[in-house]
Amino acid sequence: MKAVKKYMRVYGLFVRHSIMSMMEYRANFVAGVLVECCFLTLKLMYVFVVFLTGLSINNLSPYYVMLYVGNYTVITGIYNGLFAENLWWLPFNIKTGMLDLLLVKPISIQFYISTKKLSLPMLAANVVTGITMIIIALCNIEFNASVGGVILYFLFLICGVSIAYFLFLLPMLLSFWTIESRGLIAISDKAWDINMMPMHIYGRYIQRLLVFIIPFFAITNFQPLVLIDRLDFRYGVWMILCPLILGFISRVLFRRGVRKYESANG
Amino acid sequence: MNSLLKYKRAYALGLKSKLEYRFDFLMSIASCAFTLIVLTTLWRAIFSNSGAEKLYGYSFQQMLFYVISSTLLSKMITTDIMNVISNDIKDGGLNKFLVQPFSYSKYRLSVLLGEKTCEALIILILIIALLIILPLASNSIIGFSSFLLSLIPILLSTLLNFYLSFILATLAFWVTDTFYLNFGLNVVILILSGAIFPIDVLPKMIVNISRFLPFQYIIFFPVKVLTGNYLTRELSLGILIQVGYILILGIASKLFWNYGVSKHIAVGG
Repeated sequence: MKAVKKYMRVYGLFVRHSIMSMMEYRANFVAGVLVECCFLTLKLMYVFVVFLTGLSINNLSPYYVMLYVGNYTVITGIYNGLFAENLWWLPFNIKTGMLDLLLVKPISIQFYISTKKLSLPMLAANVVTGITMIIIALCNIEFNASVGGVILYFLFLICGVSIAYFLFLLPMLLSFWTIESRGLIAISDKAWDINMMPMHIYGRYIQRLLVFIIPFFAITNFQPLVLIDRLDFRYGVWMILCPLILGFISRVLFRRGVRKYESANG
Repeated sequence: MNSLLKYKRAYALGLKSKLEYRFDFLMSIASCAFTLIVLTTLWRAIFSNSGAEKLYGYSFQQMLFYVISSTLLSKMITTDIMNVISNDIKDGGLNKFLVQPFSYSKYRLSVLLGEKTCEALIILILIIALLIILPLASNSIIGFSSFLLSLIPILLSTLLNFYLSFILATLAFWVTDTFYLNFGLNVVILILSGAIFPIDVLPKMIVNISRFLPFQYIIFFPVKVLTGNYLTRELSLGILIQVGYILILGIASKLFWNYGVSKHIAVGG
């Protein structure tokens, strides 16, 4: 309990520091929000095309796609705002030997490198737009979820962000062994785009591969299904198990990686 | 002659640096696969859902060809030249260029063309392969003649994108950080150039706005020529507009640059 309190206090300090540095360069914050708005326009183009063509996916109306893209946008905002930029620096820190400085800090190194910086423009722009899309979509489709369903939605939201975190941490960890893994990181980064549309648009084998083997689809696909009460029970169980399994694997690899780490510099 | 030799050297420099990092480029091409999977699956679903032979003037095969070639071309045409130039201005790296007897913009353009040569070769080979796999015309000669004709708009669109980036990069003379500007420009190009969806699929308002902007001549126009989806009049008019934009942007970039350099205080470097 004491440790949890300590980490919450440290995280509070990280948040404060991020806000302070952002306020110092306000123009950068505004520019960041504007760039995020451009990215959001890009996502909205997909929704627009679906509406324009009246595409029905899995016998669901275009509003379901809007609900899905809204949920995808919220998760993108949370993951990118809280973790993505921090994880991006890990290979660089390993390569340049900067990790030395971090290893001597009296807190968990994984916690430190994953949460040090918050990207508020990404978080704010995506979460606000995503929630707006979800609300508009829910007003136009059959919204079947009970209170339990809404609670489950939030639980799955946390699970989705955790899966994203663990899944995108894994290629970064490779840097402990290979030093240079930019290519693989670039590819895994782009893999995020595969979730731009609901998984039902893809063939059955791709769905199985990307739900159970490399669980990219588990990040964003199950939360909207909970809201319309169409989630398969098996997927619900997998959604709970998946972050636990990935968390275990990434933790083991992280520890091994740190043990393997040799300072490259200084 | 002598001055041409200087830029030939710069061209070779760009070519060599790209060959050095060829693995990175191949990886970035491979990373396009995800966007392509999403877009091709989406269009397949749309065509099978509507049951129509043609949508927005494209058959399924033409749409597939459009999506793949526009993704590849946008990879080839987009550059981070804006970051390179603004870093030169910001970090004092520009100083060493200012005292040398050549034009900075021509030097950067030569390096860029050198870098793009290697990428262009790989991408054009991929497009030829695509033309063989997905023949767009019953007569393959028509398909290949469109391909040859499209080389002119493709080259012009690279120049157009260069001058657009160059002008925005010169803003580094006045603002401290152009990182977001570069990011923003690339996303605006993705949206308004037709790199993701053909311009004629987008809302009428965007189509009307984009008529007055140079972006659609960066991807949409070259790919339209590539798919053979154009009239001869449209082709010549499009090329003329591209040349016009290049001239206007070229002159504007020179004016911006000269004004910026006159205000520039060389520190660091």
